Formats: sequence, C-alpha cells, structure tokens
Amino acid sequence: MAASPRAKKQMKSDPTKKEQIGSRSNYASGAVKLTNSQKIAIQWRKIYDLPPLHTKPRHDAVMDLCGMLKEYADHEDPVEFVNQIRENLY
Amino acid sequence: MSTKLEKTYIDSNVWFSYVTKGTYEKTYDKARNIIDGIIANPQCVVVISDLVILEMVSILRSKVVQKESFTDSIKSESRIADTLKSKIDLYTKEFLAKITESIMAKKLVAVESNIPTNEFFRRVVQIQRKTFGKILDQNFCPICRRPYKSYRYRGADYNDIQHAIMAQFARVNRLITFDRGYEFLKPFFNSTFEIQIIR
Repeated sequence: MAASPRAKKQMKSDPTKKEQIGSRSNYASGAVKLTNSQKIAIQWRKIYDLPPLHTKPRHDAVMDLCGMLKEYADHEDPVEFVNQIRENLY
Repeated sequence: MSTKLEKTYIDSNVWFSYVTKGTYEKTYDKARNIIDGIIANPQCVVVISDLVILEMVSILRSKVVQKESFTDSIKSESRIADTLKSKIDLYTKEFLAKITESIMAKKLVAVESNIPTNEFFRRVVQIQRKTFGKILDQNFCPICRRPYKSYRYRGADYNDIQHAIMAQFARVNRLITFDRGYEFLKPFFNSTFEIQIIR
C-alpha cells in the first residue's frame, strides 16, 4: 500500500526512522517457513478435521499489535498517534 | 552459547494414560508429571513419531471399549456403541489437538524416518530374532483383575522395537514408557539413549 503524502513527508524529514508507527509492514509478516514437524502436525489436523492452528504470521501480527498498544500507552499525544495509524491503514 | 535440548521420546502407553486422564489407568499422575514436566522445561522437548500417533489411535479404540464398564448388550441397546465411538473420537481429537498445538509451540517434535521400509523392518527382525522375553505365571485376568490362572509372556513386541528404532533415529536422550517389556531392549539401545521404565 502506498504511504500517504503526510507519511512520506515524515519519512523524508526523519531518515533514521525506517517505518511509520502502525504501518502495515510493521505487523504483516512475510511467508511462513514451517518445520517438517509442523508440516506433519498440519497434516494430522487435516486428517482428523481439526481447525487450523494460528500460524506464525498471525502470531506475529498479534505481537506487533501488542507493541503498537504499548506505543499508544507511552505516546505523548495519543490522538495524534491514532491518526497516524489510521492514515497508514486506510 | 546455545545449549542442546534434551529430547525425550514418549511411548504411547504414557500418552494413553495422559489423554484418558486416569479414567482407565492409575498411572495418570505419573504420565501428567512426565509430559507436562517436559513441556514446561525450556531445556527439554518431547519427541513423537507417526508410529506413536497411529498406535494411540488404535489403542484408544481397543482399550476404551475393553475397559468401559458393561451396562447392557450392544444387540439390545445400540446407542451404547454410538456413545463409546463418540468417546473414542473425543479422546482421539484431544490427543491430536494437544500434540499438534505443542508442535506449533515447538515443545514437541514429530519425527519422520527416512530409513527405507525394507531396511527398517530388517532392523526390527534382527532385534526380534535376538531377544526373547520371559514366560511367567499369571494369577489374574488382565482385564477384570479377578483371580484367573494362566501364563503370560513379558517381552518387547515388534511395535516396541519400532519405537526404539525411531527414538534412535531421532537421536533422543531417553525413551519413557510404562511397558516392562522394554527391559529386553536395553542391551540393543543403551549405548545411544536411556530406556526409562516408569513403575
């Protein structure tokens, strides 16, 4: 997703900052690499009609969300923080 | 510095006690201490194989039916069979849920052997040929525990040998079982891992 003009401006003004707060790339992980053992587990769950387990990306997303919430709690201007997240998400 | 995890292969009889939570066996507390203890320890990991899973599915079917108290004949009350089947399905799914969740959490490892089938069975036969258990008196019925005179054979069966070979392949530190037949397998595997028989 393309960054908003405001986000781009902020990125430009602070080159040390790699990613915007709450930007999607912070929590949307890439492809999962499963171990052989995990592949076996997935096969057995399918055979016995068990619901799929949360795989790593979702777990990472939750962890990142927790990180964002912590940032929110520590942020000096929570309203501004939420606005930044909103801009990056929509 | 990374420390090497201690790997423990758990035999299906320990899993059976764990999954059925003492409904049929008195060994539940021991099984729970073993499995939960390993899972809670960050330096340890449980090892399981497809063989353990297949055996568990099989013994859940036979043992639950065998050990359930008799209420009425299946011929006159067909719902008994349905109830037992549901119970078995529930235990089977609970077992698979537990092990697969633990695998995802990296507290349990499922091993697959890449030993060719003919080579695998050749090893089983070699060990089976070299070992013979004990023939003993039996003074009670193994199912109802009432007095009943007969004989029994105590030794390692071909499934036990296969588990031990899988454990060796997975390079485990120990194999834990309730089965005393494993005593006869110790000479074949003692140099690579410890066989721990819990009593």
